[in-house]
Amino acid sequence: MDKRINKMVPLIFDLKTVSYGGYFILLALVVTMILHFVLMGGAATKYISLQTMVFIISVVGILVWIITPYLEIVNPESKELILSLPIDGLRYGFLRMLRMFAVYTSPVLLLLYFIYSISNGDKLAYGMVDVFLIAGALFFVSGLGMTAFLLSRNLIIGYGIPILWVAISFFYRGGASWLWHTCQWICPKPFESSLKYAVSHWITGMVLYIISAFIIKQRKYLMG
Amino acid sequence: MRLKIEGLSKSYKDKKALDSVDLFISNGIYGLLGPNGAGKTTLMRILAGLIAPDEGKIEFDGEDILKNIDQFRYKIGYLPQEFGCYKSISVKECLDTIGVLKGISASERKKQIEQILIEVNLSNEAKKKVGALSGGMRRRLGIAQAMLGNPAFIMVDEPTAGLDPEERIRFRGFIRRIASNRVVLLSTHIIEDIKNNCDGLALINNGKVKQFDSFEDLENMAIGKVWKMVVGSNDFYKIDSKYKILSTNTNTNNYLEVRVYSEVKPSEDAVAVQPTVEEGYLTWINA
Repeated sequence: MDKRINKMVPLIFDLKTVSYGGYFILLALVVTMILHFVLMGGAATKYISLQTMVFIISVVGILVWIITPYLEIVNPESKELILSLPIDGLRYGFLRMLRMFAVYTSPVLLLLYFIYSISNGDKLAYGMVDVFLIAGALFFVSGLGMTAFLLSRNLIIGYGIPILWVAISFFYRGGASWLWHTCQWICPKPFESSLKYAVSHWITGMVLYIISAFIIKQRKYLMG
Repeated sequence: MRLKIEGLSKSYKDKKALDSVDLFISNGIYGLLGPNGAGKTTLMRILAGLIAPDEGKIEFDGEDILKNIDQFRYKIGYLPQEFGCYKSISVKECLDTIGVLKGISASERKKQIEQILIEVNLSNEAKKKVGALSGGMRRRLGIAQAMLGNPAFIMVDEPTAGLDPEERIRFRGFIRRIASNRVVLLSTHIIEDIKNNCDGLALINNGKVKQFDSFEDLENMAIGKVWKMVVGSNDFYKIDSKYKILSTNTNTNNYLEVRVYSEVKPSEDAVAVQPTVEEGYLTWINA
């Protein structure tokens, strides 16, 4: 038998596959920035509101960036070909998802840091634990979206479940979210340690990434 | 190179998609002919490792591929019936990505892609987005990706569906050229696709497969069942309702020369004629 080894899909390929949807999110972030500075110029809470909006938009953005490159394995027109190729769960799934997460999350964290640094008194905390929590929240949300998408083989469910989760976390301030209060950073539960939530998000996110990589190997299931 | 299939069966709920299929294929193009829903795609998907059979054995060059499917994938080039992936990237990038997924090294990929694009006549479209290609071009891209990595076994499922006659003829030419030193399995319900192109064929219907050593063997199945009759145009409707009409021609006296399929001689003046491949196929399908 041949001893050919799979490599990672080139990053440039993934950046192109993200398509308009992925870059529209970045545009949405810019528009949010402009609107806050122009419309809420004199508001005392404009920086808090801006940081909150950036985080909420980023949640949708991470889903677009993680799920879109994998649409081909559930799309009826393409899945048969892709699944017949010698793809593996580690490189095609886990590492590639991790790379997309890193590529997307880094500028979001930088953007939040920028807002924090230009703000005066009205701002959300942005220490090491907060960065760890924000990145962990996005990691958890992306893992949840990817797992829901692959298990259901349905894009709407892939987006719907994590967005619903974040909405519950946001509006109920962590009620019914247990250790996965994704919005602890912006709607914190008083007297709770953010680190605890950050660790829960990272661990669960990792488990969900591993589950997603495992499902990608299940060709018979994905063929439906 | 040889592909050997023994006792392959697959059921979906209470429908048997493949019923104890035996098939032996060696180098060259092998046609798998059958009506829609006969089980062709199921067989292809099993061979591509996309679905598992209920029972049976598949060997390629003596190696059990059901046990080593992950390694065997490197030897397969597969063009499924539906091919529409990566529409937002260019033809070259699409091939490059599939090459990566097939585990081909960067230098080898570059070399192969350039050569294959020439072979499938897509060099001028290399920078075009996949989504902007015509149906025929997309099929050619499909065969190009199947050829990447120089696989020993290529499968093409309904490759000419939706192509115009010119594209269809060109496509048969591609298949012919790539068939040397490898096994090509071509599944179709269009007899023309395999008649002048394949080195061997098998018929499939209701999950059962019959292999034929030659096209003559298939034609011979209909011997004594195909008849030529000359009828007036006013009488045509009478035989049309009684027999299966295979073809009709108008002769110089404005009478109709009709070929009909019948187990018994349909009329006194009917003459038994040498059947064609299509007529052999119809005989087997209707048996």
